[in-house]
Amino acid sequence: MQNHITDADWLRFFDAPGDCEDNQRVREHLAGCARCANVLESFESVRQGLVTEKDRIRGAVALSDSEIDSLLGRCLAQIGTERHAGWSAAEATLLLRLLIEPICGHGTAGATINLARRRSLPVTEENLTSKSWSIFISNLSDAMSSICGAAAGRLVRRAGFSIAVQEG
Amino acid sequence: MPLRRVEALLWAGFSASAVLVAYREWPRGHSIFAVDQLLYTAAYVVALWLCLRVLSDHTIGSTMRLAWMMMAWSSIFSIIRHTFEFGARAAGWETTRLHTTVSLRQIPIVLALVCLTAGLIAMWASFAALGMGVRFQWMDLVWAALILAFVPLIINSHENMQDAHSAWPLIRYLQSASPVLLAIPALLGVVLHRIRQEMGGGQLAVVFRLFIAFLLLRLVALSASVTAIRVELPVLAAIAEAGGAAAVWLFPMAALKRWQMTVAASELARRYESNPGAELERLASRSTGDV
Repeated sequence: MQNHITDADWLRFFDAPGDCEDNQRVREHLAGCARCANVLESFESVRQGLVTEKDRIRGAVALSDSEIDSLLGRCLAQIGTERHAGWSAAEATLLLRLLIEPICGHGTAGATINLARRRSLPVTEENLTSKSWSIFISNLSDAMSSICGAAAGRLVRRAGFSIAVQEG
Repeated sequence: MPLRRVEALLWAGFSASAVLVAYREWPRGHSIFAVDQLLYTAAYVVALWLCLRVLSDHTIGSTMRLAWMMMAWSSIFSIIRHTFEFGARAAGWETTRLHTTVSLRQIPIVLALVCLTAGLIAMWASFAALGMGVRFQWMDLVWAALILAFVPLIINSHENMQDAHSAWPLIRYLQSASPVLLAIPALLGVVLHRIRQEMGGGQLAVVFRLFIAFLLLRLVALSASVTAIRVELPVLAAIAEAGGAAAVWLFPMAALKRWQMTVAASELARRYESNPGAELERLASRSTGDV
């Protein structure tokens, strides 16, 4: 019975394809064993397929320099905001107020914020928290939409959900 | 078309209408054919286009959408009215069918005013839901009294109104109702003024300021055109009528300012979507700057 090439032999052969004693033995065996030669052929075919696929995928997701710069800029900006990860709900409300005042004036901003706050908090609570923030933003966005239009409502929603609110 | 160019176009129309009507009225007798009607038609076509854009920015079923829809309908009826008046003048009906066919213009006039009033009420209702425009001050009452004072003044001179001698009773009734129909939107202008004051600035306040000017100037122009002022103080009447003609352009201007608000808000929302960190930094630095 012939001693065919083992898995360990194959691993060694592909990892260090040099002229060591073990690889020499593998080559000699391949010359006389059709079964192991077929296994080597299938291994080569799979490896060639992987190389082709790698090149194809790389080509499909290629990014231009400007796209890479833009991605980098966004990452840096996000890292930059980490320093302000600790906005309290009151500070965050103030920021939103500052955002919508140029659109609808400070009176309307105050009225919409008060309405959204009333709708978002249970009667027993007075102050917004990180837990009530999401519902507050949705209500404020709705209130702004009703007066200033959907675009203004969308702006409030996007800005509001960009602010990381923590317990003050 | 860029919105800046639309704004320049509207101001050009504003100036052209004022100059043209002033030329016609002082001294009276200059012919401008019906160019003023063409200009008004253009103004309301632009207003319709902008009202449709603004109403598309409001969610279906919302009161504010209804308000802008009514404004759009008002623009449609105004377009019909001014196109009809231009056609009537071009066909020479003002000499042959003044009290019959031409007087039919009262129908689109009344419909436009009713739609405008409905739109303004819907707008008020939107703000009333926020608790705005529901508490009035004594100055508002003075303005309201002043506006109401125009009504009997105009009604007393209703014989001078353009279709007061129509062959059809319905048209005569509609014409008689026009002082009231003009006064109601003007009274709603006082409400808008109160809301604008409560707003405390912002882009929306500019929209309201233009609406208020539009509503009040038209009433003043009507008063000047039908009362004794026209005969006794022709210069004043000419100025008032020129102001009234120019005021038509303030309606599309208000709609334009409202649409510019949507464009600006959309642009800012896009910036918040692409780079929220940088925008929040900017906003936060503004807040420290303000403090």
